[in-house]
Amino acid sequence: MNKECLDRELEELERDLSESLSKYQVKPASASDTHRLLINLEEELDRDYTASSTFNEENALNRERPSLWRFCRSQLHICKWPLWIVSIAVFAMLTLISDPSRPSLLYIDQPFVHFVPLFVLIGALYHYQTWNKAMRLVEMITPYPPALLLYSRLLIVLAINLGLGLISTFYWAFRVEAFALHTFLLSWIAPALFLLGVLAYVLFWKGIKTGFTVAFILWAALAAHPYLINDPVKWEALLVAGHVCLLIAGIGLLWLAYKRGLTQYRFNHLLLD
Amino acid sequence: MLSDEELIRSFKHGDKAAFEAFVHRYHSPLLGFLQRMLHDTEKAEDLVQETFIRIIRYVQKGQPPAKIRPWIYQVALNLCRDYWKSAGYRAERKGLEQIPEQRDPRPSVIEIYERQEERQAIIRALDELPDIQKQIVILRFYQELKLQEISDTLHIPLGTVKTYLYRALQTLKSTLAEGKEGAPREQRMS
Repeated sequence: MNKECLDRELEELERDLSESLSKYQVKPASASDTHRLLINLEEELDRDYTASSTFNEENALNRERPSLWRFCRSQLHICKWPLWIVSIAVFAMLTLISDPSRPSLLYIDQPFVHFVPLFVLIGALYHYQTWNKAMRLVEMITPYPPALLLYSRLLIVLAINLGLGLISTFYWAFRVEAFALHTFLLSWIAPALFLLGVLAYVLFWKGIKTGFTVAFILWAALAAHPYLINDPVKWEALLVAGHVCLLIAGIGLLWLAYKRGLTQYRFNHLLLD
Repeated sequence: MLSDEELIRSFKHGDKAAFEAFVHRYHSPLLGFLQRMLHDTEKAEDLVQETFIRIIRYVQKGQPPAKIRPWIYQVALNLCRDYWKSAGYRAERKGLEQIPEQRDPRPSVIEIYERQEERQAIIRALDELPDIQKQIVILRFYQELKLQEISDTLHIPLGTVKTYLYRALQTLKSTLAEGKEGAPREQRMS
């Protein structure tokens, strides 16, 4: 039997038997069983710690610093298929209801421009809610600050949205002749990055709730401000400059938030060591 | 969520809490694995504790392997093998008729009976397989290990894992199908 054929037949057999075999249940470990096991292991853990105390002192100083890439990789499991389906559906809808072919100064009235930054914030909020359950048990008792882990999740949410947003943008770039690619990109990427930067920064200093409150208020202000300008043509250059400033501020705030996360990590380390 | 490798690395660097998190993560899977290998809940609980003790000693004194999940099942399986070789096991060996009953107070008596019948049929079918095939099926279906992880756990090539799994599943399929066809006949006869 060749390799592909074996793999295919294996998959089929596994599918056929999965239901029958699932009926072989065994006694699961309860929380109290695990607690008892940990108490029984305590002696072994303490003995080894006493014996290797020199080792610990030497190595505590050389403990690996968390890298952002490693954090993001460890949090990639949040990208489950329902998230992709919802994200793709939202972006498809925004792509269809927006119309960048229509003459529209700096795309200020396009739903895409307003709702992508909002969707980024909603995505971050969704992951904040589900975050507690999966991470707290394990991560709260390790030296990594949970805020830094949440920060890595924010970056993953941002990356997903940027990826899908770019696909939509390039779709228009191919379809619409008079399409100002740079201006359009700037008009949604800048607010999205800025709002996420604000959220991340405030999260480290004032907490997650304040972070979301400030970010949502700022989104409302950004969505409303072009309509408050009497003569958009007159303010065209100012709008572009404003978006550039938002972009720079967003990147800056994300960087500062990361630095703050690392400081927290070092501080926790000092306490634990 | 932190990976197993990160937790073990943190533990090696002196973070006892990381090992506690690791125990929380693997207590239930290891207990399930050992119960299915041994058909003895008490012995499985003892061997789970012994598995964690071996892991603690190894991590403290040696270099933990690159892939943690296959390694912990390997440690648990080695403990099973030592136990099967021991004189104590031969003396205590129980027949399949003494397989401990599933404790689940919620379903009705008939449901418990039916489940128990199906459960014992699966146990019998698994026990009829050669040891290596049984281990592969348990690791694949109940511990949800990938084929490559099973290959790492058992130290056999990936192709061999696939071949053994294929043969085991074919045998299981026909054994369980025969059992189902045979059941009404047996009931009629009784």
